[in-house]
Amino acid sequence: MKYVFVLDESKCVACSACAVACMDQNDIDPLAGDIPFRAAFVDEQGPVEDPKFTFLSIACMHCENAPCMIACPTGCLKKDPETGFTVFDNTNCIGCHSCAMACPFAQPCFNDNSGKMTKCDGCVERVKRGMQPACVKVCPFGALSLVSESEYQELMRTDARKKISYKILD
Amino acid sequence: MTELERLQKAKIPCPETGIEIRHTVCDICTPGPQCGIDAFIKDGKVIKVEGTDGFPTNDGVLCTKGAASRQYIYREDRLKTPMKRAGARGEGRFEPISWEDAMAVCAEELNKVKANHGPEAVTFLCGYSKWFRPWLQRLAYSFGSPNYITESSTCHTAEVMSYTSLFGTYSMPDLRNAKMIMSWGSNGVINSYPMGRAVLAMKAQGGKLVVIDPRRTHLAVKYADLYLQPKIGSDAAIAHAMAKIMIEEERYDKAFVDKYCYGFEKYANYVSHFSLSRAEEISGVPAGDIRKALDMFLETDPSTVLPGNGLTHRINGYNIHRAILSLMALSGRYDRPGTMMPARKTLCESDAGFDSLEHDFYMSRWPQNARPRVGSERFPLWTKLLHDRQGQGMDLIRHMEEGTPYPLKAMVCFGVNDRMYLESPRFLAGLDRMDFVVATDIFHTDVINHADIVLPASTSFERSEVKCYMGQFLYYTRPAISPVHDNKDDVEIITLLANALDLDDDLLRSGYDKTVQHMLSTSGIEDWEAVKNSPLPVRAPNAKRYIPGTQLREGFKTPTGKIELSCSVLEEIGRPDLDPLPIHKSSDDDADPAKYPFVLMSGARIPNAVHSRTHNVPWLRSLRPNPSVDINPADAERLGIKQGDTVRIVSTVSSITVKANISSISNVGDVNMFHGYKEANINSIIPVDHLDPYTGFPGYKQLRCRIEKVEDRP
Ligand code: SF4
Ligand code: SF4
Ligand code: SF4
Ligand code: SF4
Repeated sequence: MKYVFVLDESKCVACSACAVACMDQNDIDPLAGDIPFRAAFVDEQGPVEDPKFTFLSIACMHCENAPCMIACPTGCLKKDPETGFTVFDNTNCIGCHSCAMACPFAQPCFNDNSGKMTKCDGCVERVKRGMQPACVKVCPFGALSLVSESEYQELMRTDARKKISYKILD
Repeated sequence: MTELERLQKAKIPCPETGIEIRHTVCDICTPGPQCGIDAFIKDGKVIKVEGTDGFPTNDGVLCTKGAASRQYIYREDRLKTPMKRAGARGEGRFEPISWEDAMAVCAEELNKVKANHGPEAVTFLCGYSKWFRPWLQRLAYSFGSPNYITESSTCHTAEVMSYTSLFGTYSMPDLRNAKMIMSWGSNGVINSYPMGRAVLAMKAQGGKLVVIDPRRTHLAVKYADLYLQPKIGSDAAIAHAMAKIMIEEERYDKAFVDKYCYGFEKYANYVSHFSLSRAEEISGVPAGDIRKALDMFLETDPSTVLPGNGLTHRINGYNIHRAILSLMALSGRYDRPGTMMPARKTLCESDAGFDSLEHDFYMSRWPQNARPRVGSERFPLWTKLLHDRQGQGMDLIRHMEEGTPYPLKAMVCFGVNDRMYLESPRFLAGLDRMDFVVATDIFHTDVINHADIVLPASTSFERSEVKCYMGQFLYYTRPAISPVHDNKDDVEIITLLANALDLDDDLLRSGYDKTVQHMLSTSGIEDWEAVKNSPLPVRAPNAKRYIPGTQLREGFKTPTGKIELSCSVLEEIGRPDLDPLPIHKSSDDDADPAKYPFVLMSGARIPNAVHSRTHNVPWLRSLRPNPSVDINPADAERLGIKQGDTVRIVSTVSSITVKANISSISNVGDVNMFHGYKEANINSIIPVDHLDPYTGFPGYKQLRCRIEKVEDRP
């Protein structure tokens, strides 16, 4: 079954619980120069008297024709046939940053020391075993979810609320 | 990667990986939610956490802080072994010592102080966490000292006083059944997400939300149907204008007020001076918006205000809080579902639906003939109103410095944080005046550096404890892991102290399980092991749901037996500076506005921190690495300050240097700064006597200051 990450923007408060859960899941060590795979943002726009705020949580979008995958000269990135996630094996990574430059969301990240690429793998092993991705599971407001492609189509048809779809590149 | 490697990397709990799930609770923010945690354990170590599915408070989710539990329990700066001081006080040089020797020193020193200066000279001081409070209180009283003090002297007790003076008991808005909520100075989605979720659930069911907050909070910008942004400290004027309309337009609940309220006439006469235009002038909120908010509140039933704790952090904070609660009385919104409800507690401020022996557990040991406890003469309302007889810790610095009415000579500290005290360095200097200081903590804090004996405490993951939930449930954890270092849990430490001191108190000396089961012997539970074995909280046989209206029927536990719009305890105290009515008064200090044009607000929550407890957790600190002050874009532009610039916040007593965060979360003219940073401790610049005279609470959220741009040296 193919999956889509969906952020219900109306529910997100940019608390970063998802980012921390991801760091816990993936043993991210900020002190050792690791970059987190997921991050939350508050964006403030508009006049001082009446500013507009946007709250977001962003990680890899697991794009369908993933530009990162196409850009990588050593074939580190590939699509997981079962889930549709953009997964990777960085054994052969030469640290050229081609994937990151190709990615519209600058998601592939590079550890300061090893220089090798890492990124969100959709918590693919968890999902394959019927568990939720760590970031989805933790969200205190149910803003993040992982839905199957068919559920996603249904959602887009019936739900008028603004959602940041992880299929932005479709 | 092999299949096993993949499983291991993904931390999948199964026999192949040897990863197993054990249940515990998060004790980072404490004692409210204490969310259920699934600890993923491999070889005796926590390798990951998740929320426990089906748990009453969190049902599988966690907040930002709780999600970082693994780094919290394995923090580098955890205390690893008992220690005794090797250098000068404050120097931070220690040498290890055995638990046995540490206890012997404590017993000898504390008993020496008791013999020479009386038991009152020993203060028992409690910070975070809070799960062991009844035990520490009993330890103090059994030792003979009335000086049991907690950091609730700065946090929660002022609210309790406000509720108690009106309703005779602590109360809480019934968010789950309310159809309209007026959230007043509370950003629930960030400061306590279960509360935030309740507010959002109300909205999702079509309810309306009014937010009144000087900060443009998440709740305000994202969910409010109507948002009022008052000047800091002007809230009572808004509440009084609402009350005036209700009374003059006969929209208050006359029958309710006649039957249940005391002091209505005096109160009505007082609020009659607050016209909408006067309230607009004081608060800066358009009169029309105040009326609209009131209309929304009155036109929906049930509706409730949700008053934030921070309201009490102004030097007229007690009155502000009372002024807001008075609206609940006036509108007859008390003790009905969806309004303000009397709160009960079973253990450690949380409720399992039955009365326990907790209060009796410590009060039965109250030292009858002891000299007055700290702060009791300076803050008579505190002393008269509170049932549990804590001292008011905001008088500690004065008491330590002046030694009046009697000298303090020793301090027993549990999780104490100097940065909660105004002009904090004076608190540490006060510790250095003591003959003896013993400090227990999970982490190596500033206070630790000023102690003679240091005792390492456990986190919730390493101990067994009982926790109550939502008026129905009771949970009894087992340790999820063995102690990470040579540490013990706080109650074990209290038990060791009680034994070393050879106190005449067999119950306290018998340890946690026996004492907690004694306090909860009214639960009807016989088989405590079965409770410990349950993966989820259980219902005690004697737990009863509260029947709304009981309080109205039985009468209020105030001196007049009624809801007091004019506080009879204050009438009796009769001090001219303490008005029985919830008066509006400026909470400004006397600093010259020309020199100190900004109003500083400190302490409002950010998602990744609670006090100073998580500033040293790398995951959490990485989310907002620099201590920073929120400055409105208009002010920033005027002062030529850009995002990330270095600025100095200057008060009449001191200054700190931080980064600028340009955001309209702060109103024009206000700045907002989170507290508890070692390198930028905002409370160190608040004058030590900037206190609410009624409650003794610090005016954390309203102080005149100046913002200066600091030129970064190249
Ligand atoms: S945990 Fe949920 S609410 Fe918080 S930032 Fe992530 S998606 Fe948004
Ligand atoms: S978001 Fe970036 S990293 Fe993720 S699949 Fe798309 S291109 Fe690749
Ligand atoms: S799916 Fe997993 S790896 Fe990706 S952001 Fe969420 S927690 Fe991180
Ligand atoms: S810190 Fe967060 S997860 Fe922990 S108990 Fe408090 S609300 Fe729950």
